[in-house]
Amino acid sequence: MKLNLHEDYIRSAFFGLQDGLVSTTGVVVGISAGVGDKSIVLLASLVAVTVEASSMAAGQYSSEKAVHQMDKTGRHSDSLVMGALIMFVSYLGAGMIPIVPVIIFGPPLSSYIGVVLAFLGLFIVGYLRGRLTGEKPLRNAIELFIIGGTATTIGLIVGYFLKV
Amino acid sequence: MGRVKNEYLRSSLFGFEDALVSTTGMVVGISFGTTNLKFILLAAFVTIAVEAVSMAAGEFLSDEAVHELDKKTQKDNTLLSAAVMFLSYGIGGLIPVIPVIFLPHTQAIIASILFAFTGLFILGFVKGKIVKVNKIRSAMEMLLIGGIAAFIGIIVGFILKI
Repeated sequence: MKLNLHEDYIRSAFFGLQDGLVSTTGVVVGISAGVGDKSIVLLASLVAVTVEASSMAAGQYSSEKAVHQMDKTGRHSDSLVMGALIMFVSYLGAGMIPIVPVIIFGPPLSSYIGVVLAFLGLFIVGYLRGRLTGEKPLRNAIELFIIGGTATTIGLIVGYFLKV
Repeated sequence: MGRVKNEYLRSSLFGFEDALVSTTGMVVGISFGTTNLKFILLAAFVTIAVEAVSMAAGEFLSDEAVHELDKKTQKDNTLLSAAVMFLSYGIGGLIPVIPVIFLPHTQAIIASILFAFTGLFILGFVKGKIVKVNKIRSAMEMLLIGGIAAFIGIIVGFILKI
């Protein structure tokens, strides 16, 4: 499959989707392990996802600009603002997936549902990535599973030790 | 060779900036909703730990995806690039949390923002030096962009105030 999309946009989109799913799930589950109050979990999750989406967009803009500035040949055709925007939307969209169960069900049930939804999302993202890059979709999906699982476990451990 | 340096530069800048901005946004944003120090620290440390892992993984995978797309032989090491991201995020994230541990609530929030903004300024300055552009301009830009992102988190925390 031939792609007209700039590879840096693809990087942004996948980075945003993966990180949005993985880290928001880790944060939601980790904080839920440390505190049972629904409104506090929701506050922390929503702050985390918005802060991260804007921060990732800012990080994408600045680090990509540095790469452009470093490489004086001017071969870079990608728009910095576009890359940042793609990052923001991908992160926010993916990050809301594990938060929706908190709104509807509240902890602790929302943690289980959030993990299932996030892993489903990771599978789809991994599969799509495989399709786009021509690599095995299943291998990609499993890679994302392992990473999502690791980040969530680490969130759980930290949340458990710092239990309020 | 240039490409290799670019990848590590991207990773370390991204990690430091994201950690400074998002941990500050997190700490300050949540501080509007609660004054419970234990809870603020819980949320901050969970976020740093999860994000450092997730960012390193994201860096590894997205870099790998780019490698797979253009089949040329890539000289940069995706694992090293991921490690650079992990360390940058971990260290950068601790900077705005330190004041929260040692200072009372209101002072901690102000100190946290000051620490992060100083960090962003230094980061932008160092970046300007590395890529050989105007250092002050680069520092101000990093401060402005990071500041806006942190501000968004602060606003969300304010709106969601429990």
